[in-house]
Amino acid sequence: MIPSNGSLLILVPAYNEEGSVEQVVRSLHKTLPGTPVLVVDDGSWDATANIATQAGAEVLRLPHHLGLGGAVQTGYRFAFEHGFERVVRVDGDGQHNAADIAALLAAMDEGDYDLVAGSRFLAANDYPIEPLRRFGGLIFSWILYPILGQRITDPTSGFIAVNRRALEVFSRSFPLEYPEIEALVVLKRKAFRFREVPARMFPRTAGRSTINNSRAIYYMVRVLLGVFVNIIKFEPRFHGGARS
Amino acid sequence: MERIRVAVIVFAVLLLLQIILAVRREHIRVEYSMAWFGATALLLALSLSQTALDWLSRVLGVNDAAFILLFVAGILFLFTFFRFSVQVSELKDHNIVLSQKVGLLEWEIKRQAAEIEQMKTQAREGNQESAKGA
Repeated sequence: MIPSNGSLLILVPAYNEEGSVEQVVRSLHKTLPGTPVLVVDDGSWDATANIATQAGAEVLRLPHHLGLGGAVQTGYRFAFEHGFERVVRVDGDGQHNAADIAALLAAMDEGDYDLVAGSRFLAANDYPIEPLRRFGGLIFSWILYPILGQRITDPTSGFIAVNRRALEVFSRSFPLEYPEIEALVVLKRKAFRFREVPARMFPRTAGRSTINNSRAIYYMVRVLLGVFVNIIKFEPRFHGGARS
Repeated sequence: MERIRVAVIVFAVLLLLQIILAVRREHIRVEYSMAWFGATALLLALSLSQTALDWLSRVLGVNDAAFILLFVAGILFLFTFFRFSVQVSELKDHNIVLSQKVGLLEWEIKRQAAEIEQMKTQAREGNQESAKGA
């Protein structure tokens, strides 16, 4: 069971990741023994929850599919309510390298950052990054520069460490769909500090990405609209809500 | 012009009946039927009153009364749909929070059940040792 006085929690949002979640959890336990791993099962219809439990993770099952942002926010709420100081989010598809978590946390300590994200574009990666993703990353990086006041090379990275200050904000308010970029804008509005560090990433071990070629246009328009709304919006009208 | 007015009147009356039936059978809550009642009643009033239609035509600078009727109908229903989008968004927000609470509470219940089970096991082991000692 997860100790309530723990300082670090590893959060793994997972939706139908039965093919990869076991390896992800075992790799996290091997790299960070004794650190609690919470898998938030986002209403999977496969054996994700059972496999994650057998692999030694704590599993929090959502009653139905909320989407990535809803699952991540559930984990943030859990961490905040249980008094964790830091959370590192690792995707359940096996793309992130558990060995790089130390680099994220070290960077956070170094500069008192509220959020540190792993960037595949700052590290030498063995696997080819799809041209569409690279192009999308460049576009977002260019658009976000004047908004964030700093260059973000991998705005869609889900390999993210946050401290308790950011946890407090995100547990109250977090974007639901494709949350990474909007989350940065939310933090910027609150004058929080964030940076990127190099992170090696692997090809998916199983399953398929939610952002495929046919959804790429929708993704870009949706994220840009979300960024725009986050710039102009008032504080959320529904204070207990999940909306950013 | 007369045909389109008759068509709009028939449509509005049918819609009004449909709304009343839905409210009676509790297929739609009264507060959500208000927007539909308002939009339909306004459309009906406009299509029944030549004076109101002529006045609106003059205000908007359009001579085609049929166009005015359809334009007003379009605007009214657009507003109604927008209102429902706002309500659906609110419901989605509430639904997400509730789902997250359910997940968090289920985890807490499982944790407490495991703790109780552990306490029971410890108590059983303690009883067995006491029995052996006696």
